Amino acid sequence: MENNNYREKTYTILELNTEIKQVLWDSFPELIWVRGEITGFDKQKGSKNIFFQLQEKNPDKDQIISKITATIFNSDIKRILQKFKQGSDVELRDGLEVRVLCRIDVYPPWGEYKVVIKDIDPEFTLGKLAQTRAMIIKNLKERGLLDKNRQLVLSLVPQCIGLITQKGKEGYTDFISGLKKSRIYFKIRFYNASVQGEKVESEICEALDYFNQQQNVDAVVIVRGGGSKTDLSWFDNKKIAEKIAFMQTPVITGIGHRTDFTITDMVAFSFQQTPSIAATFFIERINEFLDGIDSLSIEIAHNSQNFTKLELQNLIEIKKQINRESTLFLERDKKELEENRKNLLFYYKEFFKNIRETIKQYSLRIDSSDPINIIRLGFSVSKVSGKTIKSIKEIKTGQNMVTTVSDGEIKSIINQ
Amino acid sequence: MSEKQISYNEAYEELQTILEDIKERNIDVDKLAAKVKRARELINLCEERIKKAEMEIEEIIKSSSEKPKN
Repeated sequence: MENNNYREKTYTILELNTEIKQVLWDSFPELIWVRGEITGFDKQKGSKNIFFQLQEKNPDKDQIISKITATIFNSDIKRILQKFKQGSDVELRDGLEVRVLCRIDVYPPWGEYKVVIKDIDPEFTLGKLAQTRAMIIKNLKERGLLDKNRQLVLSLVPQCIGLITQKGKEGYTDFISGLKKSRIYFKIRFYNASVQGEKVESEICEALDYFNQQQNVDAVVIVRGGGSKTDLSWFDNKKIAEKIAFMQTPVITGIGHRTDFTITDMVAFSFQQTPSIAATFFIERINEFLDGIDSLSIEIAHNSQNFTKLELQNLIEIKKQINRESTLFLERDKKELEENRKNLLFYYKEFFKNIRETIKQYSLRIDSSDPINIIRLGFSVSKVSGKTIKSIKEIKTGQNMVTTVSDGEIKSIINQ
Repeated sequence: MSEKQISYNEAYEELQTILEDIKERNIDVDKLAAKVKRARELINLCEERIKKAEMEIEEIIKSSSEKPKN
């Protein structure tokens, strides 16, 4: 043998495993805290004790770098799971990061060592979940996906609804009976999907894909009943959030909780607390529309009645005006005519007055140039042989001269 | 222009034109009577149209309010 450093004793397998067990027990005499991610939990089927693995991943590469088998003994299952659920509102499942109080144990018949869980710290898991959640939200926000679905336009009358939930569960019945209360006709296209458990992600995504491809509904609604005690973290899911963000149809949620809301709610077009409240959301939307068209029709009726009333008033007014104006028109004409007649009369009077004045002036001027008038003033006209004498040179002594005065003629003989 | 083809607005506009013409004395006295007669015809036409519209509206309102609401 190459190596001389060996024990004399030859172990049986059982002896070896038992001694290893003892060594481990000696090394880890107390319980220890171990943290890791649960895997293989969902696959187990109703065995007495729970078996799964805890694993550690390289945070950068999502690569498993170490694994250990974990178990919860039958006698501890109820206590541990209940305590964890109460403390975190979360159920154990694959992918969950946990901090467990455990002891190291070896089961000699199998020669395997494992951790036997005695307690799980709910605070640690909650913190991890919140961290993951915050990271998902940050990522969605950075990519502009948080309110992408809200930017869509929801039909004014969303009567055709794509329902995503688990058939037969409270969520389904609550939503359907909520709609039925309204007497509004709804067309429901149902797509069955798990709303609890490991299949939530794949089945909800599949359902969303279906409605996005078909484009046959006004809105998609995801509902789940059960109240606040159920595990919400199934809906703090990045893939579902991304699907909703890229949907071309508004997505409404009613995931059945009252205090907190999930990432699925955050990216939804509208989030409602429960399935029945989600049903009310649709009913109210349609009622709002109906009320709207009711008041619109009343307003139209009212306005059209006012319209004709106003037209009638206008018509009556124009009728009055035409009557008044046409009478006025004639009266004004008559008045003008009368005015013209008066003017004409005045004009004639003036005309004749002027004419008379002018004639008088003329006659005065003519009178003044009549020789008889000059003679009357004492002037006289003397003629010799019928010829008017204007100069002394024109007469000779002895000639007969006739002198005309105003009231007769004087006959004389020129002697000098 | 046929009375059946003339619209309410056309009739009303013509009425306004007639009124303006009378106010502004843009017409011959000889034609005044004819214009007033035309105005009366137009007024009757408009009144008929309004009455008809009123009745139709009432009918529509009545029939829509009788409909059962959802």
